Amino acid sequence: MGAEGWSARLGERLFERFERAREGGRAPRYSAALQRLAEQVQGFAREAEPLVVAADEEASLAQGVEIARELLRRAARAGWLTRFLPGWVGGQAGVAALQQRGRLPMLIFVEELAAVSPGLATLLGAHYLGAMPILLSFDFAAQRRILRPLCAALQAGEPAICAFAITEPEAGSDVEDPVGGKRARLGTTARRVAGGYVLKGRKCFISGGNLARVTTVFAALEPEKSLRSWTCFAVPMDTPGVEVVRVEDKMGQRVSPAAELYFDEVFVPESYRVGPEREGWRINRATLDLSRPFVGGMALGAARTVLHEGVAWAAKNGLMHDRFFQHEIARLLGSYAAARALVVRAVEVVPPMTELSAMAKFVATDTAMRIVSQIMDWMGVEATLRSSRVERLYRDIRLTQIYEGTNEINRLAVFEHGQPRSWADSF
Amino acid sequence: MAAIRQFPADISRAAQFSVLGTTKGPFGEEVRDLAGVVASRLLSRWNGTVDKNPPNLDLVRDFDEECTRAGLAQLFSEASDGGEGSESLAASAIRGFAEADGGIAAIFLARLAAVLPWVQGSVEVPVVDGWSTAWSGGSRPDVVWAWGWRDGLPITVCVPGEGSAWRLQLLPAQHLGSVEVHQRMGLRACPSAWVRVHLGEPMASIEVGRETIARWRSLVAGWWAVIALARGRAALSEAVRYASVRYQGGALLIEHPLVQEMLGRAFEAVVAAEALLTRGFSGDASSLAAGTSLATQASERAAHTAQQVFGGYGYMRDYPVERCLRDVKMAAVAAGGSARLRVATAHAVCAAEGVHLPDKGEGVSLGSAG
Ligand SMILES: Cc1cc2nc3c(=O)[nH]c(=O)nc-3n(C[C@H](O)[C@H](O)[C@H](O)COP(=O)(O)OP(=O)(O)OC[C@H]3O[C@@H](n4cnc5c(N)ncnc54)[C@H](O)[C@@H]3O)c2cc1C
Repeated sequence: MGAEGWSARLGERLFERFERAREGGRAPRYSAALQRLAEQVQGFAREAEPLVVAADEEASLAQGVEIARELLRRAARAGWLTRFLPGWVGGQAGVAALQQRGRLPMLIFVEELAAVSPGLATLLGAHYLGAMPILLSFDFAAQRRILRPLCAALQAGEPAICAFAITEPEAGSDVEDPVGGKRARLGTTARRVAGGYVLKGRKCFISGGNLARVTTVFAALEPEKSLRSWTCFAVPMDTPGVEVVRVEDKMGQRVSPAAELYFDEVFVPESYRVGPEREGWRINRATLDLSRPFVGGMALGAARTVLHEGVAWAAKNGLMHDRFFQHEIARLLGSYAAARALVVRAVEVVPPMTELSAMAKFVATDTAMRIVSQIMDWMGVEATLRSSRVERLYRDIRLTQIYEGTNEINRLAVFEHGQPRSWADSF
Repeated sequence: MAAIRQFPADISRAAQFSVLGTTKGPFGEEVRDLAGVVASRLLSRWNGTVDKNPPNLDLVRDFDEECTRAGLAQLFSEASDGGEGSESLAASAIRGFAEADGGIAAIFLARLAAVLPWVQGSVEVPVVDGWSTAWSGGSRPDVVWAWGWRDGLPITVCVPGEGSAWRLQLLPAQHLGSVEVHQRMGLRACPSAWVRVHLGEPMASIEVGRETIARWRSLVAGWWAVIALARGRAALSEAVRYASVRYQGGALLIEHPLVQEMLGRAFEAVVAAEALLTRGFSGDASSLAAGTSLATQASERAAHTAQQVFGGYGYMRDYPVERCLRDVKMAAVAAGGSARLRVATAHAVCAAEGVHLPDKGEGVSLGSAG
């Protein structure tokens, strides 16, 4: 047989195999290990869904808080609240927890939780957010001191979570944005005393703040120097003077309580300072850079469910072959896929980049909101019923455009380091 | 089918005209004011229960009584009779209600739409409690989505008729089966329900052509858009007030060009939609369709922007804007949703050009039920 016949046969065979592979459907989204993780999270979230629904609108705030506590207990028992903390503090993640290999699982975790309930993702995610400043201070002794007892309690099934407190009544965007924040009116201060510090002031909208065992609180040593004097403290919430002033009555994500906290002359020992004095902003910046893409992932997880609901509705109503409908849904799917690729990219970059993280956050959350809004339009009034998932997800997704810095502030963050760095090779 | 249309005895013809004297011109101010007065009276009486699930059914009954007393019940028949100025008069009343509360406006809209076919079809139908009917439209023939539902009111349903026509039936309350009152995202002062209906033996029945149905549909969609727009504008006003007192980034929010641009962009669409709708209600079909579509988009953007300007506070239920967003979205969906409304605009504009696109025959659905 001539060389030509041989290569033609090989070509045919390859073409056939290629076509068969294409017909075989989609490429796996994740590796087998990650796929298993996704399925485990899905299982947990599905079982949690009835409680999430019960904590929604008709429940009183107190009922909602009790449900949140119960969900945290379940999550702790199942290992979800220690899974992404490093081994040396008692968690189950390797050294790579903050690296690329450690962050993709975290993305899958929040996405799959949010596919059922963004509120559930915030409830569990805020715990990691609260622990993040302690990890990112890279003070290993402090990490062990503060986080080890928590992990032990979590493993015993107690809801011993962390919370993260930067926002104040008079400073919301100002603690997310160092440019605007130059003139921030910071009301939470720390005063040096023998053996430690005394904290005074108010923090608001703190996710899980009413349930936390430890909250990372950012306070100014010299209020007139505002963020430049910012310092982070891990405050055990049973310290005298710590007060939960209120739990917010929110539009959505009602399974995740947001609390106002008052620190009335609260003593914090030196050993519970997180990182050096006046390094608060840098630690906060690093924390937000790490967490913002996850907020994008959260929004997209919910949007994915909405897309499924929309398509299921279309199939039920004989619209799947309607080319106009196909066209409109394709538009949404395309923007979903692009946003998700951006989020994955932002999660992969080590260390996280401010501009990429911010872009992932605002692009993904805006995309998700557009998706849920348009699917609701298609589905009509039935999707506005409280019994419809789409209705709940509409209210839940909306929050992702507001917290972790409003999307406007995230857009401004793209220029936070002056010229956006290495545009071409990073994006 | 010649039942007698009754007006409540205590309202004289003269009293009616004191209301209807303002019918000329779009968005008649007096009717709008009167609706506003009725709405605020209801709000002060039912304070705290207008945004609750399940809806407050006492409020609807009260609404019906208040409207009768104020002479607004007559407006139903006059406003929906298709006479000159009547459509904009209806829009004025809806707007007046909606400026106070979107849900209360939706009850009025439901009542208005319920008599629309009967009045325009010159079929006299009996009234209940000095009233007319609740209205429905829905995806299934035996279970209908009834807006403005309350116990004891008959329901208008739309079923396929002869050929390409539709048949509207007015079903007496005693022919209605199980009722499931909805818990909805927004406009909660206005109850809605799934109602099982038994067709046959209607109180009144009328055959209507597709074109007429399409015209009613666009009119009712326009009314929903008026609600959305009023709530969107209300949200923006709140945002402007808030931005004028909140400091962030070393300045009042309103001083940041970024915030000004957000508000400006939202306002320009709202103002444009208002102008277009006003033209639409004076009889220009393509302006009505385009105005409806634009209004729903503009008001969604307005409410969204307002909430964004409030930051985290905007997500809290003790601030007014989160509710505006839910109400606006509810009204926009009821109007038909963005894609369908754009198609409707194309139909209207093409018709004005002499190109008549075939109607897909969705029947009368007062608020798209999917
Ligand atoms: C449910 C919920 C949970 C939350 N959880 C937490 C948490 O766990 N921990 C925590 O610390 N915080 C938390 N937050 C706070 C959240 O991050 C802030 O709400 C957010 O950063 C916005 O701040 P703000 O609410 O003060 O709004 P503001 O800062 O008052 O912003 C209002 C508007 O002004 C705009 N704006 C502000 N500054 C500027 C400027 N310089 N230039 C141009 N425009 C500007 C904003 O974009 C926005 O549109 C939570 C908030 C909510 C609602």
